[in-house]
Amino acid sequence: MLVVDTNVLIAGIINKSEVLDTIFKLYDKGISLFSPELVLKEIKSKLSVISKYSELSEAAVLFFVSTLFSEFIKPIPKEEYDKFLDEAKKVSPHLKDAPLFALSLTLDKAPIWSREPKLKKQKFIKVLDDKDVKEFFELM
Amino acid sequence: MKEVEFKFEVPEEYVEEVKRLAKNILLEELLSKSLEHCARVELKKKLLKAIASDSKLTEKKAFELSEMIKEGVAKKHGL
Repeated sequence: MLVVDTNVLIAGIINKSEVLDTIFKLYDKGISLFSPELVLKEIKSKLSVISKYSELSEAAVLFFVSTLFSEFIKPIPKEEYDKFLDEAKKVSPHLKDAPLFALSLTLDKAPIWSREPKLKKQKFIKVLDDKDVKEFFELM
Repeated sequence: MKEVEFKFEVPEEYVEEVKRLAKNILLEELLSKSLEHCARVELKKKLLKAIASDSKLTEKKAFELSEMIKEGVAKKHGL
């Protein structure tokens, strides 16, 4: 099990980024990936900005994220990790990342895959960057 | 539709169990559904890669976007 940070999901849209390949390899290995459902909702509300930055059509971006969340990443409703939010606030280096930590706590402290180095400042929950994920799950 | 033949190798200890199951479930249907699922997943992977290959998103812009999305998600959590 692995909790996926928003910065990883968005990096999946970068051309030639290895993130998408890593997501597929994890899927093929049977590793379950999770993300707060509200991330998907928020991404959907920002389609025009994502479209502008990526020069992809809004329909393409919508298809991309919807497919990612329907097949490769499981969206978890807030109600399922809400009870861990207070504890997560104490652990997370940034308040905005607390939902990610709450989700990890819900999943028995599942590691978090993030491209934000500051998340590694705490030692309570394992945080893996792109390279760590490949090593940890032996994808090399 | 073209018919193809598959051979399975089953560990010794499961032979009897598989024979028993084969009487009760439609193995062909099961296999066909599994293959269909695999093909669908592979197609989705190709489509996602094709979309990403047209993207002009940079690492810097991707970081900006994800921060923007995180702020929105945090607000939805009352943070």
